[in-house]
Order: sequence, then C-alpha cells, then structure tokens
Amino acid sequence: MPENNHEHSPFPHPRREILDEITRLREAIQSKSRCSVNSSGEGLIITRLCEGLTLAEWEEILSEGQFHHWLALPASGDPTPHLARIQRTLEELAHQTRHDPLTGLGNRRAFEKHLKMELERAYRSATTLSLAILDLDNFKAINDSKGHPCGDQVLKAVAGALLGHKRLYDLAARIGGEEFALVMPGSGLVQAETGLERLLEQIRERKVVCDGQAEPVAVTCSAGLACTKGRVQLSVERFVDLADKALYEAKAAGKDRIARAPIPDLLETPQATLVHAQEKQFLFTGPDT
Amino acid sequence: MSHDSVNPSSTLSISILSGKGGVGKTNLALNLAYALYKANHKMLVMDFDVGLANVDVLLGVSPEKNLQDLLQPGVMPSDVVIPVEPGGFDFLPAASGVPELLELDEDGRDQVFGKLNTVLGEYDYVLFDLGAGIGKTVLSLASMTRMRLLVVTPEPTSLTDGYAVIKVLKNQLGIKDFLVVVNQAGNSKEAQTTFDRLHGACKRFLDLDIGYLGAVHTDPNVPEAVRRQIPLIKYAPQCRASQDILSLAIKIGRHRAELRTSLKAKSILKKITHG
Repeated sequence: MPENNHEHSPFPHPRREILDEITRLREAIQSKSRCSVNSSGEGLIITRLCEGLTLAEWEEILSEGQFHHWLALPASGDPTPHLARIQRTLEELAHQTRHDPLTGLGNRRAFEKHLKMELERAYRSATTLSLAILDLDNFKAINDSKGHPCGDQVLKAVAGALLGHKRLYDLAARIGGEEFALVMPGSGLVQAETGLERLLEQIRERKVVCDGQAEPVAVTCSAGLACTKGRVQLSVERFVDLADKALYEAKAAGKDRIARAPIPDLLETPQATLVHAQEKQFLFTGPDT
Repeated sequence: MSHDSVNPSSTLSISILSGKGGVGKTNLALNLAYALYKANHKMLVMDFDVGLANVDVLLGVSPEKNLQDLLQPGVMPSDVVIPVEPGGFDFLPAASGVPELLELDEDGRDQVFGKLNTVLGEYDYVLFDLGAGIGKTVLSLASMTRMRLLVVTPEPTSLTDGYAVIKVLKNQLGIKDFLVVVNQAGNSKEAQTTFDRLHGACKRFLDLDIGYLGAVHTDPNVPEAVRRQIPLIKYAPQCRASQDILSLAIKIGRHRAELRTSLKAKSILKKITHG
C-alpha cells in the first residue's frame, strides 16, 4: 500500500503548477526509459499531496485521462471511499497483470509463469507435458482489409474456440498480437495433436461476422506443437523455442496446419547405461578380435 | 520396513534375473528352491514376473489368489501363499495377462511388501523370479534383494542382454554384486567361456568383477519335467541338469552360511525408493 507523504506545504499549489510538475515527472521517468506496473517486485510507489483536490474531481480526472495506475488517499477526513477505490483498482490491476483485456485469456506473463510451474511438475514427477503455440494465418490482411475492430472480433472468436476446446486443467493464453498458447499437462504429442486438429477444424469452420461487413470473415490457424516426457529438465525459453520453430515450419509448409517439434527427452540417450557397439562386439566375439 | 531391520533367522533374499527371456530362468529358480527345500531349508518362491507369470504352470498348481490381491485391504499373505510341498516349500503366484499390473510402482510395492514382511522372516530363503528385460519392477526388486543370480545361456544375445542388466543396475542403482549361472550349456568348457566373456566385458567396460556360481547342462529331462509340471529334481533327481542344480544349491547354502552374521543385522529386503 502506498504510504502518503503528508508533508503539509505552507503554500497551496495552484492546479496549473501540479499539472506542469506531473508533465515534468513523466518526462523524467521516460528519460529513465521504464515504468510499468508489471510486478517484478522492484519499483517505487510515488506519492504527492495535491491540496484542494476532491475525490469527485479525482474520479473525473481518472476516467478522462485513463490514469488507472494512479492511487489517491485523502489528506484528511474519512478515507473509507478512497480505500475502497484503491482496493478496486488493485483488484483490477491484479487481474490485468494476468489477463489479456481483449480476449479474457491469460496473458504472456501468466503463460510463462504457468508453463514454468508445469515444466517443473513434469520433470519432478516424470510426466508428459505438451505446449501448442498457435498463430492466426494472414491476420494482417484481415486487419488491413476489414479494419481493426473486425480483427479484434476475429481474435475474440479464436479465443472462444480455444476456451471451448481446452480441458479444465489446460491453460489458454494470448501471448502476442495474433499468437495464442495452449499448455496441456499430461498430454503426449499424439493426443495433443489429435485435439489440435479438431480445434483447427473448428476455427476453419467458424466464420466471424463483423459489424459493417457483408461477408463473414474466414480465418485459419497454424500451430507448432512441443512435448516433453519429463525426463530432461527444460527451461521455459527452450520449450517455447521448440514450439516456435515447429510453428515456423507449419507456416512455411503452407499454413493452416500443425507441425511437431522433436521430443527432447527422446533425443538424449542415457549414456551411463547404454550398451555400446564395442561392448556387444566383445560379448559376441571375445577379447581377441 | 525399518521395524524389521533385524533379521533373526538370517533369511536370504535372492532375485533371479536374465535380461533375455527364454533362458530357463523360471525353471532354474523353481528347481534351486526345490533343491534347497530338500536340504531342509524353508523356501518361499515369489513369482515376480508380474503380468506374464508362469511358476504356477511349472508347479502344476492353479492359484485362486495372487500377488496383486495383496493390494486389496484385508487380504493377507496367508490367503495368497500356496504350500506346494509340506513343511516349507511355499509359492506366491502373480497374475498373468493383466497389462496394467505389469509394473508395480513404489506405492504398490510398499503395500505388497508391507504385508509380506510379516511372513518373510519365517523362511530361510526367499526367491524372486523376476521377468525378463530391464523394466522398473525388475530393476527395483533386483536392487532390494541381498543376492542376485543372473541366468545366461551360451547364446550371444543372452550375453548382451545379461550384460545390459548388469550395466543398468550398476550405473543407475549402484549394484555391484552379481552371481552368474550359465544355463543350457553344451559342456563345461562352453559354460566357462561364456562366463569368461561376460566377466571380461564387465571388467573391461564397467570395472566390475562378477562371480561364477556354475553351469547347468542342456538335458532332455528338463523339457519333459516342464511338460509333466513337476520340478526337474523331483522328476529326474539323478540326471545331469539336476546334479548341476544341486551343486548350485550347495554353493548358495555356503554363501548363506558365510553371510549369516551380516544378514542378521540387515532387513531381509533393502528399502529403496525408485520410480
């Protein structure tokens, strides 16, 4: 919670002066190049007393200026309405940190956190985990020809198909502009691919009706599929990279299809127990040859 | 299991392994047990070739219950163990043709042995007839027993499979003591050459010394005894293979006598956690 710095200035600040100061602050922060509410745990909460400003006025400023990340506490009087507002804002921010506002799916951050956990689980318990990365085909063309609102409709429709398809314990996320991910614990490559084929089929058949468009928009998806058997330890980066490379292959092979990544666990033979050719040869022919 | 860490009757647990199937492992296990029984030892033979069990057929018994029934609450070893011969030759059968039961996982083994531990101490020897291959059940049982017999034949593929079992058990589970039996040997020289080759490979590639328990010669009485569902030693006690097996049994008996003091201090089965 922000701690207010109740340093009462003997001189009231005129409104203009505050606005100037905020503008200068913004420039100063921009010059330091980063400021976001992504809670890496690091960062500062900056407070400033704006004398004379009422809660009603503040609400107005918030909604007009989209200043969702700013919190306000009263310098005196009953703080309850302000605290309630802060709580609401924090809840919204918490939701925003995990969800994509357009589709309601998990966002990239939620995806990476979830995948990290599932990779750990798969490795610790030697269980299977599959990851699909889906990318809409020719999405730029839809945006360009039908307009961005229609593009948004298409994204929502695909998100809907993903939500309808996924099992209760799968995670569906929007991890980029037109890029989605599906984390499937317990699914092997064959099982995941069979399900994905059905999903791609659904998306292919689902024509999106956009406002002001006579013809419904047809859309297809390409997918890259990666799988681990939980026998080797994989980082999120490596696992995503495997699925990304497969996605690239699916695109290169003509889109609207699934490509599989090699299973990393099966590539690495346990050398400690592998019986090599020379050992077999020895057993077959003895030490003399 | 820690409560049974003392083994007052110095029960010796032995797993019988092969790597390759069809080397006569089950038949050898059974006859070794029978030979030791005839020498007044109390024996329990456990069919741990879970999923593809055959000891019951070789013994000519039709068990109603088996190892898997021990997973059921209320079923005790006495409900499952079959007395084959009076006075101490008992058999614990496993189920055949139940693929889901092929591998007993850690919890399954814990439940089964939790119940078995109460009766294992009543025997002088507990023999585990393990399945072929290097599955989890085979590997964990092999590392739980205090002695391991590896059965090979002069056939090269039996040697490579047997060697693979040794390599996996040594490098994955740290097991370093193996006793080899060369089964279906044409003559003693062939048996010795077979062992020397396996020993040479273990020495050269694994820096491991393995022991030679002995050989069992090819004998026409073996398939006949199998057909009649009688232990070979009972069917043809004077035949070459029976005499060979009796020699092996005597050596095993000596081993136990030598180990007696150290066996008393250890649990009958080593507790391991593996898959």
